[in-house]
Amino acid sequence: MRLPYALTLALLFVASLPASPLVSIRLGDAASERTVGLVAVAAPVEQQPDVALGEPGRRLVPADENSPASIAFEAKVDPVAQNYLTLRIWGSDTSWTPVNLLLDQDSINLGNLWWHVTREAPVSGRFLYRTFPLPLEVTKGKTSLRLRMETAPAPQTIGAFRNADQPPPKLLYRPSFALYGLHIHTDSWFQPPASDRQGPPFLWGPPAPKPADYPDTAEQRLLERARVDINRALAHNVVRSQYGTGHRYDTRVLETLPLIYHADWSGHFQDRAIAEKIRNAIDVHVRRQAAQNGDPGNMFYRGWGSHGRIAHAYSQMHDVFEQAGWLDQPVELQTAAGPVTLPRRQAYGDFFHDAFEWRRLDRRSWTNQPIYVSHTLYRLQKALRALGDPRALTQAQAVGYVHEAIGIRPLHSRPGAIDADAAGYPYHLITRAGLTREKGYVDGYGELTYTLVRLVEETGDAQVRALTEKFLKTRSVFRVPTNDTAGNGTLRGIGAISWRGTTFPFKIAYAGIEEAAVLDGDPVALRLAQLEIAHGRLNLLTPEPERGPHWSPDNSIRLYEQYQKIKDLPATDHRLPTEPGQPDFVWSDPESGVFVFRHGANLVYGSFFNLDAFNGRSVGDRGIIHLIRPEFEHLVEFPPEFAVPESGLSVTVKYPFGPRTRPQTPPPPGMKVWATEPPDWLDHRAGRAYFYHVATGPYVIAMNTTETGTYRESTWTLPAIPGATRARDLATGEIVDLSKPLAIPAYTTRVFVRE
Amino acid sequence: MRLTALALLPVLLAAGCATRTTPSAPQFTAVIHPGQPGAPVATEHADILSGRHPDLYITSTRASAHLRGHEPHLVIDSDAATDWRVSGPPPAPMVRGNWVEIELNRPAVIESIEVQWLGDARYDYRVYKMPRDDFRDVVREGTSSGGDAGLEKIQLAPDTFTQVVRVEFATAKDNAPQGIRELRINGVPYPAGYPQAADKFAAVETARRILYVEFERLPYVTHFEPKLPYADGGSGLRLLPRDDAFEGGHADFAIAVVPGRENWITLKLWDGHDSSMMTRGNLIAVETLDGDVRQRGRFMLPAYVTDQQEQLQDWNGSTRPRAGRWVYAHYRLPADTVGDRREVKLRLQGVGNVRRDYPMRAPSPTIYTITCAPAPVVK
Repeated sequence: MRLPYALTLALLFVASLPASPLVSIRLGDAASERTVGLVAVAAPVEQQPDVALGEPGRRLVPADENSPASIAFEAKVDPVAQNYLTLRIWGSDTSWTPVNLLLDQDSINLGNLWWHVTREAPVSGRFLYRTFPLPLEVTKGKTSLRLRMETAPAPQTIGAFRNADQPPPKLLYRPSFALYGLHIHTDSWFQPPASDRQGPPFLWGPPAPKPADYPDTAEQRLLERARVDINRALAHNVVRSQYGTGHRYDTRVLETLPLIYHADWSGHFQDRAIAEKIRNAIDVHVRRQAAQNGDPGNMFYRGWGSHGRIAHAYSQMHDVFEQAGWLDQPVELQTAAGPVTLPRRQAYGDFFHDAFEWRRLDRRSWTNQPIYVSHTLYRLQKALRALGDPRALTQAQAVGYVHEAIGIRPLHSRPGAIDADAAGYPYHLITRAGLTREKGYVDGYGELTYTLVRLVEETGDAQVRALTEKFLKTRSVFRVPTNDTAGNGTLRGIGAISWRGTTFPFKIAYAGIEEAAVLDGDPVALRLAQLEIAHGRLNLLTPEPERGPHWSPDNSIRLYEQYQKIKDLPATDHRLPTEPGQPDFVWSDPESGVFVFRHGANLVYGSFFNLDAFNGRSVGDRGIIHLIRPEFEHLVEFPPEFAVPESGLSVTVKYPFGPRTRPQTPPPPGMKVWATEPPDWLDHRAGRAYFYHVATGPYVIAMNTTETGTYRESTWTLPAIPGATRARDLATGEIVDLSKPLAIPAYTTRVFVRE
Repeated sequence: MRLTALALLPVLLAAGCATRTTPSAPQFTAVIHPGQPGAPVATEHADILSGRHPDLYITSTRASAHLRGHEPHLVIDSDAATDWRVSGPPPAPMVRGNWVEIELNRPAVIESIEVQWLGDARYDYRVYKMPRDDFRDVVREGTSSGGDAGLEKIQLAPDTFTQVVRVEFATAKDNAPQGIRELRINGVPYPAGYPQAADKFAAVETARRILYVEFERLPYVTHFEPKLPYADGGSGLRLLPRDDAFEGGHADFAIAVVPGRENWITLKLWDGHDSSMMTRGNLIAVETLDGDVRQRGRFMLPAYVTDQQEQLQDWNGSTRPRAGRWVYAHYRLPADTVGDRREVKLRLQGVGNVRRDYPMRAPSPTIYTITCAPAPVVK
């Protein structure tokens, strides 16, 4: 008997679905809890009609700030297979704290079930599933374990901005999120049972409405805000120089004053008093540096951007200085060798030159830091060229530092960089696919277009512009439709798979208006900007800009001008790949181990590397997937399958449940070992396997991370996936038989759907 | 432009390059003379240097003081837009005016000098024939004519025989900037005897020496020593800095190698500095030219550098290598960059420093030969 083709496919799909869970209970349901001998300590049942669709659940509520709350239960496990624990959580919960999973009898810690930084409801009005792999070391040969989930101490204010010179926050026990279901299973892809009720499917909410005090147009509101910041800037005392963190405000205001001076709408157009204030402020910095034996390193805390902001302020006002004859006036400096009188041109030249020579010797290693530092180096050179200083680099030379910082040239500020070049494995700070190169995907620190577009503006360099456009296009893949807490439609960035920072949910993010104004004509930037406007996000702007730690008055001034540039542009036809109604797609970055794909209603963000105890020093043991579906979301941790050539190098980590040893990849030719000391340990390439794959639910994801043109370039084989005789390549539509091994060429990611 | 291996072969032979491949690898040596006419080297931003050293030339300049960016060697660079400049009186214990000194490679009879003064003011000057501050060797004093008079000739006392000439002037009353744009020593061949005038890229080394004023000792005075950038005879290739790029010029060539093993590229260089290009910067890297666009190839710095040092007794009893010497830079070509090929395409790339994090801002040492052999070639 021959089965109809459609029925055959359906049966095959069902066959590929995970087996029934080993444990499946509803928290707050006494009968269900009894089946696993659940014991709750300070974990009361709660049930509210407008929370979690009215279902009961248990929340761990410590009796005080110094003692934990917990639940313990009996867990059936598979003695051979990888076991997973999945929690069902209400996505609109507002209480998020770390929860450890322990072996109940001897309190051996198996891991943290909530290590994300969560500041707001992550999945508004719907459930969230959270899957965690149980260490094989503790399940091997066993059929049941008694597990305990227990709140862990956490900082009082999660993720609060704190300067390095401030004391660390006190760690306290706080209430956890409520738990509604608990499952043990053997496939990382957990299919919620049909009995799990789900919230209403996601639909983009309406635009944010205008509040009552909103003016007629967004342009008027932006002008109000710009004027507030103009007044703040003019009232700020910039004629001072100080080491502490307060210098950031001073120098940000200083670089804003020329904007006010040159803006014919500012009310202070070509106001000579502003020019004199800028001159006097720069003089103060110049005198202080000279008094410190000309050492720029003692000028400002960290000092990544301050000299650059001073230089930028000068460059914008150079013509005014020339016309006023200020550059030929004498400036008296008190130096260690006694008083010295120099023409201001010379004194400024020495100030900028010395700052450049100091700063260029430490350009940092994390992507965002070299970008800030290179921005400063470029600005210092621009000021030197304006002064006619013979020590100035040319434009093409100065922009070389920017090229290094944004991945156009290899970064050479790291020790070992030259060795890596010699080995044919240069270190580019932005990957070929357009992500910042860190250990893996990064959320907040990877959102760098706001800095890149300023580099585009200030350098006018075609390569910087092209890179920025590519970077923004990549970033646009990490924009997902969502609703804010008020139910208004918006876009968020992706944070759950980030290897550091790791905010979930990530903040509302567009990166559109400034980008569209600077990258005029770029369709991605324009779409992001037009969505931001269409979603009414400008309606949420209050008359007074917030003065957080990153406040700079130039943001509101520039935003007013940039909005005018783009507000009347015709609507673009471009659509983000994540927008509703867009076709399936696959995007990946093998250099970061990151993959993204859309398959019907499933939008999947994943990474084969997430921050684990190996920390990139060797191949890690934690991959992560963030599945976004209309009716629920799912965070999955999984141990990736991997392959590397034998190197003889490895790293061992002692977990509470036993040691794990993972291999390092072979070092580049000419290098015997990977550096393990800062800052070289940032080079995660020691821990990026040559090949990864994961078979999860209906998907098989295979990634060859070896770069073409490098010593790593090699073809790897996806091993046979039992039962996967028919699978469709999501990107190409090709049908393949995955029950047989399949060659995956270098720098290639393939996502297959089992049929 | 890149040359293909086959295209290069006849050129290689015609240019007199000894290219020999034998089964006994250790005897193998391939040599290219990149400065010779018709050498099989494709260059961008590079020049050829050749010539003999003049009999009389300037070896050092120093001054009582200078503003940054206005060092004393700028008076002999043939560029009137640059200058040696001071402001105010010289540092104590000097009690008279500021001065600049020019030192030659040997004593000679100097009949006159020419000075282009900075600014329009008149200068009350004295010319000394010895590097001393004791009034006893004045060979001329006078007042400049003022205004922008260009080079102003100053006749010295008859039979002034000296290795050093000092020009001193009285300090302006208002501490206005003073200085000299250009200074010529008549009798020193121009431009050959003025390294920077002969070659705008001529290196300037600095050395700090003590200075006695009467019986008082100043901590230090900096000597600025221009260097001749080429050997005394022969011709070589020099990679130049570029204003339009971070890194400098390059020279591409194909060279025979022993397949399947490590090879060594050795460059014979004339270095006008007394320091190593590895620490000084503006050096030469070797890159393979077989990678893709983003990653052009492998990049190698010298594994080590050897040089023929002629030690110079220094003022404080120590010694240092005399500037102007042959240097051999040895680059390891790993076996995997050679593979089974008998010829590889390489690039000599001018870079700013060993970290490649500073632009090339001065020429590389001049390259006289490129050698490939299974082991470093040291002569």
